[in-house]
Amino acid sequence: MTLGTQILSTGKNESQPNHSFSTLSLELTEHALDGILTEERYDEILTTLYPMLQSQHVYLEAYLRLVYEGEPAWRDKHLTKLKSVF
Amino acid sequence: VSLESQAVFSEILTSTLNDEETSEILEIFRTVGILPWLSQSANRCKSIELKPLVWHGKNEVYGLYSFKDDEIKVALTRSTGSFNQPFEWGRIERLSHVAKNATEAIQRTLVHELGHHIHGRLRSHNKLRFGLSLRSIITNGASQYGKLDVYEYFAECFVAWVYHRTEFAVYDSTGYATLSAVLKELGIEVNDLGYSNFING
Repeated sequence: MTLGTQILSTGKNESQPNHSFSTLSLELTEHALDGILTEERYDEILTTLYPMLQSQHVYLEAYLRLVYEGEPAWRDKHLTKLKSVF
Repeated sequence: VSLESQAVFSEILTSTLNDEETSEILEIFRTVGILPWLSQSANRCKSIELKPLVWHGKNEVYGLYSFKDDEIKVALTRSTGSFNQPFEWGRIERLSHVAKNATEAIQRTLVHELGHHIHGRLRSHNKLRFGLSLRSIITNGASQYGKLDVYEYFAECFVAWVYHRTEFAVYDSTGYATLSAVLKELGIEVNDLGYSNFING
């Protein structure tokens, strides 16, 4: 079980949205820059963080930064979703 | 744009403003004194885009930086309330909101995105320090946005270093010392603009 799914399933960090964002953004960014981030994990992290964006615990600007750390081919579905909602 | 700025930006800049307006925004780079560092080929970013806002309303996006693409994007419009706000350390939403007017707010966002770019350059010098070492101190950040994660913390620290260095040293001494060491390691010397519109929070 990945950290993202742990957070989703246990709700352990629901009261600390910044902590969850901080942890997952660090993983996504570092792994992206190391070239070891997979599209599956990228999608999973962004999906995990999306409810925090909806509840305005996370800034769209910071969420977008994470979207842009993915490979260009991975980004479109997330950008399309964001543009349709925000 | 000055000759110095032209040399740095001629190949990487996209702007929907005219030359005079673009120069006014980019003047901040010369004022800060970052052009000598930024003009070195190893330190240049891939592109800088100055364009109108794409995202509006409650979720305004003022700027974006991609570590992966090494690109800076800055929005050219600011809503009322996104500048001319009183500065209380740790409480202000973003340090760009302290700006006296929209142009200064855009410039502060440009400095923030430049902070990300500097952070990215740090990675090649000291990978460990890139992220992990900052995690324990982001709660001391100058703004709410800077407390979100290590990347926004670092970028807001750079804005604080440029605009509010005196307060930075007092209210986040660990971050101040860290950024000071990082800038020294990267050979970056920037001016202290010494803004003083500070309300003790």
